Amino acid sequence: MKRIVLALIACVLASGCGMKDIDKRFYVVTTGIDMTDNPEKPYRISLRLAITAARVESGSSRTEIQTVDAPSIAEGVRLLKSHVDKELEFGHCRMFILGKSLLEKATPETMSWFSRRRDIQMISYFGVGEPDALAVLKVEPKSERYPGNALFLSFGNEGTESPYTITTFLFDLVRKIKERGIDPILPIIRAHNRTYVIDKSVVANKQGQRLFLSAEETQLFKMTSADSSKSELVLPMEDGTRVVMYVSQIRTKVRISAGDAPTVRLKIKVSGVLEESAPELLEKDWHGLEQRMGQRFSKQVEELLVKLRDADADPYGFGLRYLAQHFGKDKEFKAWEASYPEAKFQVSTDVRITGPGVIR
Amino acid sequence: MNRYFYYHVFYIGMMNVMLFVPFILIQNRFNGAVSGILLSIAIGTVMSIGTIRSYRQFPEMGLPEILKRFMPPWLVAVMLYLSSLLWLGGAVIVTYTFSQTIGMFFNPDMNHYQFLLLVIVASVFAGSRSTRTVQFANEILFWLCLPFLVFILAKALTNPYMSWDAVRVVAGYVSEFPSFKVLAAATFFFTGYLNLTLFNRLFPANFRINHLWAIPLLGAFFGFVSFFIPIGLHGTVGVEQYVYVWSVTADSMFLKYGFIQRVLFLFLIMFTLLSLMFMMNVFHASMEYIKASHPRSKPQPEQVPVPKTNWLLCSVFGALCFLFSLWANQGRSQWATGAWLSVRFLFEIMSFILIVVLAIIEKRRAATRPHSPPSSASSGQ
Amino acid sequence: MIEQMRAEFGDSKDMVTEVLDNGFSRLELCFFPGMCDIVQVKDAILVPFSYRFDPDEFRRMLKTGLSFIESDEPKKWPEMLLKGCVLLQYEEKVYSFAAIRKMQKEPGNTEVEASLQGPQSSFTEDLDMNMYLLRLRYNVPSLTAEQLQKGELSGTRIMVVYDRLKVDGGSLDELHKRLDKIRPKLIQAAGQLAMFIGNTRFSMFPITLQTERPDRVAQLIQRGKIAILVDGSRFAVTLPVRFFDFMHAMDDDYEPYWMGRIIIFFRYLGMILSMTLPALYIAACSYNPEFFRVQLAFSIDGSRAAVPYPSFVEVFIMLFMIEALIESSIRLPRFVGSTAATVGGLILGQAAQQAGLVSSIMIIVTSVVAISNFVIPNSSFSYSIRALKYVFVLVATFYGMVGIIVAIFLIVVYLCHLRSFGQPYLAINLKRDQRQSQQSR
Repeated sequence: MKRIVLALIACVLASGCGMKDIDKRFYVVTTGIDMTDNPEKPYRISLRLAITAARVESGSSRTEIQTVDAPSIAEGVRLLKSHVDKELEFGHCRMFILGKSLLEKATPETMSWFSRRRDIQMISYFGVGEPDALAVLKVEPKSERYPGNALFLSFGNEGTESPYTITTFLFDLVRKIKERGIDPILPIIRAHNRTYVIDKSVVANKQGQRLFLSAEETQLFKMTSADSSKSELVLPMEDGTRVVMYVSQIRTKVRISAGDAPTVRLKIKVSGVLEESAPELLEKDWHGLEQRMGQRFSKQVEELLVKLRDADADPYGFGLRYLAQHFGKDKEFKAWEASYPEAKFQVSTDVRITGPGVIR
Repeated sequence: MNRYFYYHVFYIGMMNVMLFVPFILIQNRFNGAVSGILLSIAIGTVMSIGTIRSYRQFPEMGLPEILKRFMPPWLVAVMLYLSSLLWLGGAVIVTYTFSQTIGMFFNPDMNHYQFLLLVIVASVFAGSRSTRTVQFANEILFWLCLPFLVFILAKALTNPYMSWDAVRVVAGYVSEFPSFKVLAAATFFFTGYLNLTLFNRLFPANFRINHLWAIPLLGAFFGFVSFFIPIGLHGTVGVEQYVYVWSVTADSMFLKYGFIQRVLFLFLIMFTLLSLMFMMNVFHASMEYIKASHPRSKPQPEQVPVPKTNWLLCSVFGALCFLFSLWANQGRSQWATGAWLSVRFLFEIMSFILIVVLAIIEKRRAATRPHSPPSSASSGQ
Repeated sequence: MIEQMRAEFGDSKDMVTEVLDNGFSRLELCFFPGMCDIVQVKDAILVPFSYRFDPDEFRRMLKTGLSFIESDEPKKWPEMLLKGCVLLQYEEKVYSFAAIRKMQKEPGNTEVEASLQGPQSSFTEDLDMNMYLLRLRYNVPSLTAEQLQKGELSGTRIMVVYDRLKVDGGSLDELHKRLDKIRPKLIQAAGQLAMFIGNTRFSMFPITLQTERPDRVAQLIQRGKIAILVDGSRFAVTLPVRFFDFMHAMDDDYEPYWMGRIIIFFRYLGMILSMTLPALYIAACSYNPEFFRVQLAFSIDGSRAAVPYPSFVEVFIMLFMIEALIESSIRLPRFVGSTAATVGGLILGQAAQQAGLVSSIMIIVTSVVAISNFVIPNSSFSYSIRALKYVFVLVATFYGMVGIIVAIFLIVVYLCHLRSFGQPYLAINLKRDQRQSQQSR
């Protein structure tokens, strides 16, 4: 033991001080990046910095926003260091917001800054700010206890589990930008009074075009691509009322048949309970109701798929699935790329209503 | 007793991550990495089981004692020096990569030589212990690491973002023929059996290593897991851009609940322990080889207190690690790793042939002299 | 004889030397009244010599009496006197009569190793009483005791006890070798002897286990261990021991199996926490704040906002405070002890945090460290853990998180490296190995 202690002392003496106390660091909780019109300094980098307090109460979170224009993201961050009194720390920055303008012009190389830095977590969330990232950063939600917590909770599925919120992690985004046969999709975050609204999304295809999805389409996409339950199925009736089913379980199976014009078959199984309906509607025609809901859902999904196909976007990863199914290589992928615009979709939905809820 | 053998198989199998094996395989994922892994399962199984069976002819003897029975002392010394040099190569590379990785993710501001110093001091201390101590420590460390491993694996395999399509796409490239480099890298998953060269001293006479079927299973498991999980999480194309593939892969998983949010840190904790374990074993094995190269040395699995020679030899090894890191940078260390893996593969094949031949000779000898029991070189306990 | 003894002891005033003459014959008597049981002396010597004197009977009594031993060697006389014997010279022959005064008449109560439902009796400071307690619990003829005397000045009686059918021969030889080697001046406590034979001066962990519980000693002897009983100490030293023995409380064997396991698990958890928590705090504050989840990091950050110095200073201040508090409550007399606790508790609790000297999280860390240290059943082991904590703090100060992990590795290796009298200190499943190798042989 004496030797160990000696050795430890040697280590200790040889080591300088790499330490920096937690209170000497400034935590970045959200980073926003916009495009400016200035060609010299095209990037506008905004950081939301946390100011922590000993006592934590609802709405007590305080933050500070710093903005700078710079020729590159890395330089911008370095410049911002001179604006603040403490060391900037990205270790807890789990939210990155890209301005809409950036999205139009950005190249995959822009993303390399994020994945290259060791302290940026690969599991940080990415989103698109509307109208720009800075506007979203400026929102200070009333209920926020810890700085930046509101967005973390929305995306992390720890707090709200909204069917409209698409969660995209950094690693997921990077892989989809590079991967053949799948395109990245990002949630759109809008500032609305003092809260965020996250219900739309945008798909970026490999040709650099952007396709915006509405709230309904986003929900459909999330339901069918990520098997995300806790959403709803709606069927408007002839008499103007609406039947709403709460989806407790949804499973989607995709099969793609080869051929000149590939056919994509989606088999969806949904089950759940009714949340809103006219009284005794279910008893009258249980099976018929299920079928009508299924048909309507299939149609909706098909419309979405066609819309995506026409924009040459593939957020579902049909291309990848095609390759996987047929153990395809480069040649097969070329064939798929050529035939995708003519692809046909067959969606069949099997709805199962497990009950009418608590009342009859 | 069986388990002591499998602990070595375990940590060496896991060590592939620190030796850029996944990186090399992933670079070649479209040119024969999959078939390389499959082929290595066959090669590795044959070599390990063959070696284990050969060692049954030499109860309670390590490689040095076996060689001394057949060869002149100078040849034995040369061979022992070579093999300890080879093992040290692995340790040196691991030390460097490890201190780089840890430095990058844990303390980016700190001079990485300081980390190196800490790691080397720890390995010198651990490696200079007696063989029995090393064996006990392996067991404890294995049980410390196992929960982390199981947890990370469970996290990865149940991850909803894991793209099995990407895995299938890469698996589709099975028909490509592997290059020598890929094969050398892939056989590393099986290298664990080589610990017998030293630790056979501790196994009692007539002891047989059981559950040999576990060797191909374990090797295949390490191979597939460390190759396919990064592909599943980073896609077939995106995965090639990362150098520290597994660190990034671990960072792509997160813990919803719990003190720690990034799986990366669990992964780093586990690999700190595993790397230290690896270095401890390698330092120890090399030290024992060099000590055994002296013609009059006798194997002593239990030595209290630790003799001065142990400290001296291990300090020399530590100094070698330090010198390597003075020379190395990321590119050079990758090159060195590739070269080391290939040399190791060749060496493994040669030592396999050697031990099988010796075992056959020994068997013949025993058959001609049925009444004389094989002399035991072990000091026993 | 009297003159000789008087010269030997320098005419010490607490020695009684008397020449008795009952009219028929003379009896020279020499003893320390402080060390002898006066009633016994009266009943066995004075009464037969004075009131009921019969020369034949008296001579017979001296020859055959169990406690009368004839001793011809004048060299041994002083030693006998010092042990509490009475020396008497009758008809030119010297006899010694063992009338040793006994302080303890009944077993003590467990004080250090309390137990809820186990036996409440403990060893006493009397060796014979302790042997009785041990034989009572381990009632077989194979229980062997060897008596030794150690200590040049104290001449302490030592009893080495083991079951000769079960004991591990290697350990016994090792123990004999070490016992022969040591030349202590004084042996006052079992722990001191353990130090001498265990080389513990250079070791961070105890390699012998001290216990005051006869049931524990009996259990250990049954497992083939050796116990050393020291006269004048209410603790027995047992060896060889393993790491796990220190974390074992006797209650674990007296409670339902799974309850015991759970408690043992918590004990290990407590040990780890008490070792690493301050170090983790330093690492989390100064090196790797991103290690823990956002919310926790911000809590730490917020609570540290008022603290003017780096985290390791804070940790050292608080750890010093708590160590001082623990030490003072052990050493202080009972009446003042509660005052120390109150004052310490107040300062450690609210005031230091409100004054902004330490963060509130550090206070929690400190109390967790102190409390979980008490969970360890063996006090010498808990000292080790208390000391090791500082090794961790030191490494964490310079290397952060990695330092802690490397230190854990080093401690595991060190524990595996330790041998307690030839037996491995930390090794699991050793029994199975031995069985296996015996089978295959």
